[in-house]
Amino acid sequence: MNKDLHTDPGGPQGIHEDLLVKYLLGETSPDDNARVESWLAADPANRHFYNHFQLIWRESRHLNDNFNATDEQTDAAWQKFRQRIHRPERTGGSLSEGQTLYLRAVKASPNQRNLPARIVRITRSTWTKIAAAVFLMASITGIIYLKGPAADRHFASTTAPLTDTLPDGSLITLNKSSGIIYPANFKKQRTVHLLNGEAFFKIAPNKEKPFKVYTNNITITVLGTSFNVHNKGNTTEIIVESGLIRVTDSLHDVLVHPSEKLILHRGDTSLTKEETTSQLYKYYRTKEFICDNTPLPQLAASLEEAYDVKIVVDPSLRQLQINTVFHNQSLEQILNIIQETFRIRVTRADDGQITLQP
Amino acid sequence: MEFTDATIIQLLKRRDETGFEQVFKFYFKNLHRYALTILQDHDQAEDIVQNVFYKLWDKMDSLNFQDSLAAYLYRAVYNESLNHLKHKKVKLTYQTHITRSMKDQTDGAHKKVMFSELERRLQKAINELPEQCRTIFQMSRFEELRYLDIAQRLGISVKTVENQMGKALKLLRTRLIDYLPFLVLLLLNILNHRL
Repeated sequence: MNKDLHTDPGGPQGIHEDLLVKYLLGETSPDDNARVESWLAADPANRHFYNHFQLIWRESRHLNDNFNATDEQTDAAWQKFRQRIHRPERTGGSLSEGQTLYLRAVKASPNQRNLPARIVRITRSTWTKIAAAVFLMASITGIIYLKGPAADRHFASTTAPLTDTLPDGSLITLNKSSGIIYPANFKKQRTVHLLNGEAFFKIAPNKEKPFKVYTNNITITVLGTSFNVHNKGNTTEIIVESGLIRVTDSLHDVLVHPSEKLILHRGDTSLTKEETTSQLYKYYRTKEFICDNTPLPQLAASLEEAYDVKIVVDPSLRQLQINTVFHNQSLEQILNIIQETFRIRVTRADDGQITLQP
Repeated sequence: MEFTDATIIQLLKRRDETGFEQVFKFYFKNLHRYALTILQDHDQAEDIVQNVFYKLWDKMDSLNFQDSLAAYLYRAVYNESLNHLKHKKVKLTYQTHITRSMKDQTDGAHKKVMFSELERRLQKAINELPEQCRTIFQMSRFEELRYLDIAQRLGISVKTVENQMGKALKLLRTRLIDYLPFLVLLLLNILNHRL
């Protein structure tokens, strides 16, 4: 059989291509293997045909060498997506799906790599034309800086905490993977919506215009103060550092004082208010883990959040308390110190899980 | 995968964001890679995947899943990516023309030209596979999934996966036949060293 396979674009002779591909990918049974191998041995043309499949298979592998998204990029993509679905109701209605125009206002700031977080949305109407013209100019010059006149402002962090000053002079620090939205006329209407994650607010005093934070269906009214809000999904934790805040939702109306921690659960009538002296929660702002008789599991929980790891504390170690300050140290250094201090074993599994054992 | 399609779809219909986050993160990498092998551009690939998820979120109530969620997502990424390429085509044809004529003039190493020509043709041929065939090829080649896994994810039989993979290689060979024969031994040698 001396058929010229080069001019034959069809399937192989005497065997089905499905079986050849199964063989190529190692999906075959021993019986199948014997069949394919005897077919390959029967005629050099058969071997030649199979080589084509082999070549295509091997060569195609390199088409995908260029890039694979990392976990961090996946997280960043999710944050971006989240911001998109949390945008206020669309107006106009004439935009086709997925065609809403987003512009990134990139501020040139050397230490804001990865964080072009301000996104301004232009609603369709007369603005479309203006935006198109501006967009064109911007593309030409390569600089995009656009202020939507009435659009809400977004501020979000991705893989690192982020601090910024709000238009009224209030200071906000976002933990990583956190996002807020606030109206364009913020100076008149001091409201911030904490969409997700955790934030610390240091509010510029202004008795005429109370500052409000919305999260998880809760309203926090600020009477000139600094406080930390952690939106954990179903649970919200609020810690006041100075001043006084008022927390309201459909069921509650509570005042929270300094050194008090308020915990609310979504859809649950009960709430917890406890005295707290713990300063551990400040870590993302101060880069310090302040441990003051801090139970080991509590420190582990903060380290998990900060370093994106899973830490399991053996039940027998749960009573251990630690007194120290970790200042700008790596996870490895911190774990080493814990290991030395308590004379316990710290192990890391293949999947990255860290275990603390006696 | 720890969740079934039925529970996912219920979560999505309830607009449960935590549920959606899991779905997003579970599929993002692979869908991104799929769009990337078609488009060869990282940002465009991400935009495509973002749009596909946005449509899923936005139109959840009116969507009908005849097969699995994975099948829906891969199909959507495939279609959107190809549409995107179509829009770019006029521009691209011109660019390719320029690049190639420059390359023909400057690149004296004939072997090298043939090699990248083969890769280029291969890329094109893969993208011209019919949708289901293309998706299954993607999962097998680039996600390195076994036939059984592919079948489970797409809600089809292993036999269908076998057929589609056989069809894929057959179609690719047909498309590339002019470039294969006299390179096959040379390249297999090179590749054997490379792998």
